[in-house]
Amino acid sequence: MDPTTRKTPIRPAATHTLCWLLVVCVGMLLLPLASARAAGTDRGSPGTRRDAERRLDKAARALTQGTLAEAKQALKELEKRRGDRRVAHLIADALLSGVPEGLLENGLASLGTLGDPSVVEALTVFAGHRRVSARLAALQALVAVRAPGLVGHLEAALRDSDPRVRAYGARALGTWLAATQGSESARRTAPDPGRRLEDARAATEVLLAALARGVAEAAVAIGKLGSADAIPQYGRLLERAPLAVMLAGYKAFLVRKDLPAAAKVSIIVRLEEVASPPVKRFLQAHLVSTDFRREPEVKRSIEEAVKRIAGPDPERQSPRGPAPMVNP
Amino acid sequence: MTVRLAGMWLAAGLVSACAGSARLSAFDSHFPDNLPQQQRHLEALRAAEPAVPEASDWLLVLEGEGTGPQRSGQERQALRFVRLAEPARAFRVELAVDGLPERVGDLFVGSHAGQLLALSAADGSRRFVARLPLPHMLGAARSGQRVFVTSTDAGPRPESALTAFDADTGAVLFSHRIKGRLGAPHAHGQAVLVPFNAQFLVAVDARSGEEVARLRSTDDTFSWVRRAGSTVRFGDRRIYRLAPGYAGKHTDLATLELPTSQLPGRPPPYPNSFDVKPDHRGSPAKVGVHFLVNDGPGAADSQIAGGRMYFVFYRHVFGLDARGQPVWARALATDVVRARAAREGLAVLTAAGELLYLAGDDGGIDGRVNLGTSARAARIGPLSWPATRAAPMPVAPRSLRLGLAEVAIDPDSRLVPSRSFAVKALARLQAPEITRDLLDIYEQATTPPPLKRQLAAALAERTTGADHLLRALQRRYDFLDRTRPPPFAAIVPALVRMSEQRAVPLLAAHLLDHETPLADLPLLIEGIAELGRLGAAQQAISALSRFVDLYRADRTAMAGGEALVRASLALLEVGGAQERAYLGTVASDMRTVDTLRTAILDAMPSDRRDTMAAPVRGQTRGMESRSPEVVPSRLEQADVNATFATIADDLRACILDELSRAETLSQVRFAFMITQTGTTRARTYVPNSAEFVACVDPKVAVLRFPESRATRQLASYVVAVRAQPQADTPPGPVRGEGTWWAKHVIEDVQANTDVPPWWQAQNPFLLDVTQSFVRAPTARPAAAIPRAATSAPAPVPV
Repeated sequence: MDPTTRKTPIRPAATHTLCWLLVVCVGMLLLPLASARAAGTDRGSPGTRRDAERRLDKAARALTQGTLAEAKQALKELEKRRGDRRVAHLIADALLSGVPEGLLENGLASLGTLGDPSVVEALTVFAGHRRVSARLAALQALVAVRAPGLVGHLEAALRDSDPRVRAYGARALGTWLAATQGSESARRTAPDPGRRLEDARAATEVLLAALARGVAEAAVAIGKLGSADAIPQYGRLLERAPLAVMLAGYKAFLVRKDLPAAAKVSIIVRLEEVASPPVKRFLQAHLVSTDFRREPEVKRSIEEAVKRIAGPDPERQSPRGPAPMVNP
Repeated sequence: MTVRLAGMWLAAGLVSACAGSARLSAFDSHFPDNLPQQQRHLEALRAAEPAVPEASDWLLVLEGEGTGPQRSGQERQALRFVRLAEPARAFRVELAVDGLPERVGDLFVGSHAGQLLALSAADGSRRFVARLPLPHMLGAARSGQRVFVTSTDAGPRPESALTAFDADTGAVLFSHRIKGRLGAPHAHGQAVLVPFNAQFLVAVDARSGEEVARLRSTDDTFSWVRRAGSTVRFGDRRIYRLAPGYAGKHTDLATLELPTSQLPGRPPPYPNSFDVKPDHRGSPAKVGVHFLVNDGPGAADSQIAGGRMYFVFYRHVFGLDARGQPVWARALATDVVRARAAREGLAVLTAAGELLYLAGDDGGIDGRVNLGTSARAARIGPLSWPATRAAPMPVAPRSLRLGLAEVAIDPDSRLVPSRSFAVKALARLQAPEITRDLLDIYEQATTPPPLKRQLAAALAERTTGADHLLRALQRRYDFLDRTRPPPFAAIVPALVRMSEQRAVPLLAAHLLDHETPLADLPLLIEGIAELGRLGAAQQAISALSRFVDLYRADRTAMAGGEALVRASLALLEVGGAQERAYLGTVASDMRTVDTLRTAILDAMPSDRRDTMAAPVRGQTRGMESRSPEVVPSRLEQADVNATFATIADDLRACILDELSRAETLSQVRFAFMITQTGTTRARTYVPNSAEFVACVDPKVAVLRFPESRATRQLASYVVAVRAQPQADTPPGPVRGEGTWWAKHVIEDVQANTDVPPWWQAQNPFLLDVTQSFVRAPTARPAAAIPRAATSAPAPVPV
């Protein structure tokens, strides 16, 4: 056999690898196309594009000119086109041009579902709407689209005259900021960790003021968000706010992993000063429900407090268990 | 001469002799008045006994707290007599007395249970007790060794008495009891002057008790008389200076009228001496003016001494100039129970028992004396003013602005009149800070609504201090900071008056702020529009458009829609063609609330309205403008109505024909089925007379309704037929005549003359037909053309 004509044998492993690479490349090429088709935004063929445009126009007309039912139906259809950035603006423009009350809330919910932060300006307008339900829907949408300056919007909600808006503002503030700066990974990936900490500190101050003014939902938010420095300030409200509200906030403090054990012990000490049966039940419940392997000193502190506080032992408690807390 | 004639002569002689010798008693209604010789006699009596100077630097204080002697019966009250120059000679007595005794020379004279009590002014010892002819003492005067007291029964048809007592023994020297009203007396040399029935000033000889002179006013009233040194003043609102030459007109003597017209309650110069209360019964003189009068040599030279008078209202004290305008003001901690003007200022005794010497120039405290007891009432003698201002000065003199602001902001609800007076005075000052002060007072929670209205009116007249108003506008509602929206009612008119166009963005922000009270929105809109007209048009248009956009379709956010309507009308006024076009679009949109749409259509020029009306009806009923892409599942009644509106003229003719046949026809009904393509099937009619069906069926059959997804849909259309008053009906009541209900009928009819023809109106489903036509079907009058009525009922489904 002529050595020049002899084919060099391809090793099976290399062939296998090449095949897989080819499959991956093809898949990467096809995947966006498929997803675009699924979303109805296929810009591939002119016919498909015209069809999509027509459907979009139809939905837009229904939104601005149709009956309430038609407009709501149009919103549902538009929600499916998440990839199309025109959709959110189309809805926002329709809402800003004036829509009946039922449709406004639906439209705001749709904007939240679409999650496009470019309509924040419109959402901000509706966060100051005269109807409470519209304000609430706008705030929910702002949270859903992770609006820039969201903390400011939520703090403004805490200053609202309506208790429902204040309550939502407090809850959302606690949840949002705790989620964005609570975990180590979140802190590392945050674009501006210093800013977020600053936001949290400022938000805690506002929440403390809100709690002092009777916004019960602020207690849990403070518990989720407050640093160790905030615990004494929070404790000062123990004599002004209802105990159940305060215990809900303390619970949120105690379950956090990012809070030093010494801070938690200081909470136990402060609660021990109150020394009432509800406090004892609260500490007993926390003792049972929490894993203290990393914080033995907290466990010890709770056990000692439970012993010192007069009141029924867990065995003698009502079979229904401890009374439910506000905003657990 | 017969015996008879002699008897007649004798009788006539006796009668004439008796008539010549009879003298009229004092206060007789036939006593001649305003005679020059009487006034000369009076002057002679004054000169006969020179005036004794009044003792000075003394106070008689009714101890205790409260307002006047609330006690009654035999309960004893504590009176403290204080000599400021000789504190050691003060004394205190407890006795049952109806009011605060008066000082007459070396005596204090009071009454209790119809008895006159006289105490020594030296030590409070009892000098005498005498019985008064009538139970209530009105006042007392002293002339020599005689004490003159007027008393009354205070009944509805009162009796009064003037009684002279011996100052040592209390023996009654003479007494005149009359039917009528006497005031408190004052001694004038050897004469005693008494106001009588508010029209007379009667002079009685102090020695004989005979009336010697009488002044009668023909154009004024006399309610008090007072003596100051050798001068006697009397009057009511006007202060007369007693002098010869009075003939019954107020122009005959020099008079002085205080500038009190702006003061709360317009207090008289001196209390009415006919009244038993309040002064006589010891109630503190908490409201009143205080002043001294300077008498020049001429009869017309009387004027307010130093050009300064004082006004006391409970615990507010004002220094006023000769025009009655405040030059200083201050709010004291407790009520003033008595005040006395001096050349240097005003001395006030407070309920806390503190005598304050307030300087006439600036209201600063020149001196203070603590009596060590609380006071319910007091009398103050002439006072020597402290030589130097009190040191250390407890309260510094302050500017008029601060003093008035202090008074105006006082939360005491009794003092609203004086607060109002202070607000008016404050508003007249031009300093920009005054605007802020007025705003601060307005925002006080304790400011009552009437005062707020006055403050708002005062602010609206301001021309300075716009920066303060703008700063106030920057405030917003904040639950956490406990701040409220600014008081727009006070701010906006002022800013408009100042043409402050910087306010437009701030007002716009409040317009769009959900915390702004709904009731304030119209005012904000008016303000924005007005400032827009004055120059800030673009900003105004932007704000108003945004507001209309946001809420034009929202039926619940704008209760009643008044603000929306106002915003639209303002936009129409401020804006140009572009805004009119925009509003036209708003009015054409089926989602726009009806109130707003109607208001825009009404406000639009008639030519534009006509062009807009068709699309509005079309859109409302979901026809012309409905997108072919959006086919409804079912047609609405509005669609049916709109389609029938296109054949309204044809239907009218058929219905009128049917009316000529059936007089009692009140309603016409069409029932039918609409197919998916908009055609009709299975048409039925009520009434179903052959003529009527033949007339209407061809017209209804050709109707084409909008398409719908429903294969078949039952539908109906109802026309209410109602009689309408006509010009040729029997004449009814003419406007302004007849019964009130008839007038209303006429007014309603006339008010409806601008209603558009029924085929152009929004509700074309009511035909009004004349009663006369119904009654006389054979002669159809030209006026029997159906018309719409604005109060027409909606079509009723079959």
